Amino acid sequence: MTGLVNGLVAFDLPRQVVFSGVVTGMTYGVMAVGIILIYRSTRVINFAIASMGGFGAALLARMVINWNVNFWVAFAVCVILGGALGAIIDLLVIRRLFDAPRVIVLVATIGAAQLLLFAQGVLPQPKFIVSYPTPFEHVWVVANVRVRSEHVLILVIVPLMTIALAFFLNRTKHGIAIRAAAANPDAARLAAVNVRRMSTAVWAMAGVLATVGTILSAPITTSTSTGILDLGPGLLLRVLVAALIGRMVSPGIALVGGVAIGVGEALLFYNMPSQHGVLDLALFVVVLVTLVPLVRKSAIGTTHARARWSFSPRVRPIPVELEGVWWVKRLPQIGALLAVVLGLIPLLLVSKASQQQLWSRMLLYTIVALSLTVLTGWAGQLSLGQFAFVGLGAMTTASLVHEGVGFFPAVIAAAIVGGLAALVIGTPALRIPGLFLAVATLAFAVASASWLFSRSIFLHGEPSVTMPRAIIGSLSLASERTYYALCLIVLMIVILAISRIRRSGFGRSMIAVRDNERAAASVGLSPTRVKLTAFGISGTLAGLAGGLLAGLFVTFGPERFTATESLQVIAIAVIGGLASIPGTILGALWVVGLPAAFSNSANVALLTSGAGLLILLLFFPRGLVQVLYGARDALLSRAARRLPTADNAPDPAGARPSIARATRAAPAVAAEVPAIRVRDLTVTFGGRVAVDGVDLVLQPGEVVGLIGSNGAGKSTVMNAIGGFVGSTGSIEVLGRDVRSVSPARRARLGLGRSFQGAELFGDLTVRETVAIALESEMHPSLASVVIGLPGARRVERAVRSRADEVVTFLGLGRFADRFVNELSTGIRRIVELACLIASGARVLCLDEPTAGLAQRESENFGPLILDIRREIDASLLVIEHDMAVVMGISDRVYCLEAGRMICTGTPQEVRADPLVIASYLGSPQTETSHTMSTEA
Amino acid sequence: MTEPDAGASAASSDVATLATAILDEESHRLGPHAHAGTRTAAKGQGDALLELRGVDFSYGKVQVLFGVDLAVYRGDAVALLGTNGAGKSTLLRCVSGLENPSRGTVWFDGRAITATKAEQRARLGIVQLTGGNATFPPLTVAENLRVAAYQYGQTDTDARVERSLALFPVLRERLKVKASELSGGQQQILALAIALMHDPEILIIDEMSLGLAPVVVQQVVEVVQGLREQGTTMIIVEQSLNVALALADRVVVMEKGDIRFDGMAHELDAQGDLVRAVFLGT
Repeated sequence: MTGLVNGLVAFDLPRQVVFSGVVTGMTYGVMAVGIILIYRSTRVINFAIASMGGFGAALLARMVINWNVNFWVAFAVCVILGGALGAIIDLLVIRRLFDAPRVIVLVATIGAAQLLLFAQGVLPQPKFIVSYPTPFEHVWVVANVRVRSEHVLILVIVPLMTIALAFFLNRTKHGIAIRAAAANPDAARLAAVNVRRMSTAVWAMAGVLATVGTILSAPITTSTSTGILDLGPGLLLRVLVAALIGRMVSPGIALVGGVAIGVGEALLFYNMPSQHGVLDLALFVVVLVTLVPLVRKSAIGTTHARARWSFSPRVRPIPVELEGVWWVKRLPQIGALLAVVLGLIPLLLVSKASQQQLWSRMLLYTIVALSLTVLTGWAGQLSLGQFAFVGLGAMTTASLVHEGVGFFPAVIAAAIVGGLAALVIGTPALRIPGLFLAVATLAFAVASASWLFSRSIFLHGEPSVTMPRAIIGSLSLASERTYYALCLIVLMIVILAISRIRRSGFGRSMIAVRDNERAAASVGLSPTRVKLTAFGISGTLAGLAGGLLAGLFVTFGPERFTATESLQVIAIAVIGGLASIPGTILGALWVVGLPAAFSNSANVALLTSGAGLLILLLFFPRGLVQVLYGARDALLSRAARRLPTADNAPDPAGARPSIARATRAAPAVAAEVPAIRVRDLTVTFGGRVAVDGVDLVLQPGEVVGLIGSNGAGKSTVMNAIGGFVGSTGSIEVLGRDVRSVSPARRARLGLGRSFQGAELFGDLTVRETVAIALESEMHPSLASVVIGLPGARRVERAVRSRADEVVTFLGLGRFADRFVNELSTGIRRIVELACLIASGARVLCLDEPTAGLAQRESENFGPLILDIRREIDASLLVIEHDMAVVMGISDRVYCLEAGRMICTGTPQEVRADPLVIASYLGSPQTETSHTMSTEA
Repeated sequence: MTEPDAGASAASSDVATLATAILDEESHRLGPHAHAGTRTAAKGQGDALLELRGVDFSYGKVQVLFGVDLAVYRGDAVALLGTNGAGKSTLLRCVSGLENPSRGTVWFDGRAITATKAEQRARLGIVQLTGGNATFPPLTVAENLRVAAYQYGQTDTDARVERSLALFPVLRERLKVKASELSGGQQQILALAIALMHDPEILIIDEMSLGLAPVVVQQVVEVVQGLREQGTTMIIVEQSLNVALALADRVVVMEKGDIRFDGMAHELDAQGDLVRAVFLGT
């Protein structure tokens, strides 16, 4: 006995610690390689990686322990199965979502992860409680380090597998084809490489890597083989951070990163055994630090910043002929009444206290999901860390009540703290687009649960806190029934408040910024302010729900507010229908209500949310609520058919008022000041000079054309004037130096900008789109909107009537309630002009206004532009490839070539300029252009 | 459409009328598409190697091609001209299968390939070089060439790689260099080497001279001229009219997603005003 003790003491512990850290880290690294392979080939961050491996690892334990299968046979079977799982996920899920926004695909992988966890849960339990199987059991002592069989396995298999993988990818035909398909899918297809099959192969490889990694690490990370392997967000986070350290491209660096994380983890655990949350905090910091340079590299920033959301449910406008029917008019109220009655049912019918508590929890989760509806659904910021704000609210409430503050003031304080925390997190998050924001918020959620909530100001050194429910006057909240009623009332208030926000300019602005940040800025909205507002509202709601959850749980610890819960809330918001308030309620019923009805087994919850996510994303991408809306539309069109049609629907575009009243007052500017004056403008991208010392003047009331061949730098000049790209040289708009002014502020000075695709805001109606342009001028305070003060309603009415005036002015009346992305290019171009007119812009920069229009349309477009100039007294700078249009409308024309201005003058002069002819038609010596110049 | 109000100013009614005309045109376009298909091809019907019939294409809501008809015959060298955004590249992507038309059919060597995938069309001998984006930047030159020969067996691959290297010796010195580290001209040569790895039934070159020094353009033009003399059927898109006319005997001019002129190069002189209108807007 003493010999053993002496032996233990003799071990050089830090060396042992470092060794086990290296070994564990290698398994993180292997999984990170899987993440990177998938990211490189399909641009998806695979949140299912750990679960893909977990299923195989769990099955291996059952095969060896329950069915006495030889370890290596079981290993082979499980690894092949892991590869098959990866391929199946690709074939069934990823391939079907090929054209979906990548963020939606990410949510789908969360669904797949939950389904795999469910599958793991239904495996039979191991017969004996023993340690996780290894093929042999032995302990070696090498250089004072105890090396056990599971370590040897990792040390042998991981390097072998890495070498094999590297050989395959670098030396074999199919491996090179996989890399080629990831680098340039189009060129790969032209070389007869089946890109989709390569993607399936990559998913299968990732499945193999994940399974091997999990099987190898299981003996180290789990003490016994029972139950579900610990594959929570903690492991996922370590793997993701390793992949981020490899900049999402380099498997080798990711492997090293994984080892570094493993060593760091082991050392921290050795030195501060009770404080292992510090590691998660450190990982959160690493995520932020690695993301900033990653995002700055245009490769990631541009491809994902433009990921578009078209997954929000939509309601068709009510047919005109039904507008007078009472029950059609009152349909929203009828729906709300039904929902309230539904909400009262548990109050009256459920008598068991534990069941009551479950239903209360569902109401509060609905509030959390609604906070996500605002942030993710409307503002487009995917947050996987919503329960961090909830937990913060709960902990704050408990602490304040502990200090003697009343329950309700404490809950209100929790809401405020939640809102402030969201603002603090939202500020750096503004720079992180789409997929990577999801990773950052996940890291925040994990760090909050394991580190922040166990600080002594919250827990006072205990594992949990107790907060008895309050007795206010004669009302005791102790009864589950009373508490349910309280939650129901708060939920109804929240729904009312955020419905008002959605109908106000705040809601419109969020959707506008989500759909098209640039276009929003070009009509004067500040994307930063809009996003931060969304973060603030969302955090406030989450904090509020947290405060009430604290009261519901009475006794709770940080484990109630883990990242797993955050993922559950994502499922609620997506299943019901992202961005829809009724959808969120349906989602909560599905994800929380269904398992509650089935005696609330954790496994059923995984099944409903996992299967729900996948089925809905694949087959009903607009969510459960779209089914409801479909029923409503069918009902309405049926009712419309049964009405006698007295006359054909009148055209709402009847009267055409003068435009003067409908637009914002133009800023007073002296007549002789140029609308735009650009001197020595230079723009460089990396080392490439896109615009080289350009001078340009746009006089008041002038139409100036900007022409030049593909890639000459025309749009870049316009982007620099609008403030969308950085530049050197001077830019004056209406006499003001705007070099240090944001795009939104430049728009408010009177500078308007149209974009090539005229994409505008796909999920807004035409009327709402025009209202966005009025937003920067007319907006009430958030508080008055939420409370529903008369002032807010007055502003809303004024915005609506002014938007209607502009809409009517351009003859868009019959499209006023259509969604922008249902319109054709030509109509969207006119909506875009309507926006610019409404925003009060007097200096218009139009980028290829006739692109995508048919011949006759573009012929009409020139005169339309000239008429608008006369009507609103505007100056226009127009980029155009249709020479007939640009030469017809321009007073002067500038011609750019390779970033330099080669010619200026009247259309006739420019057309005759030899440099221009050479630029467009080749050198003047050629036979063709010679013939042409003699003709002229 | 209702008449403008008596009270409205003349100017604003003009705006509304013009807007309405565009809106009506849009609505009309969204209605049933009646395709006339009356254009006559240069050499008569029936034996075209490649034929597009009534091809429409849209990127989402943005329609780019409007009922394009085009026939290319064995041995043709077609220059496809037009301004930026006229739909040239999209048309070529519909030929090589990188995009599928929303309406219309594509025929190759007597069979409909409208729904055939790009990777299968490549095996049929439809070879496309997409200017500026035809290489695999993180792969070395040697790996680029190996991927290009993906469809062939090992010995065949080696022979074809050797053939390409013999054509472009400059690549042999840089076999271990990543494509992203090559100069623009060398990348374009690599792209050409990738395309010439095959024995194309039809060679489609999209923007070959973009961003290349004149010397390099000359070198590339010579290689393509050599292919031309061997009778390779080709479609060439060029911003530079000079280069295009040096290589092609037939000219197709596109504007606004449709073909405005289709004839022999020498006929284009007679149509000079058309080219001028397209490029300079007289």
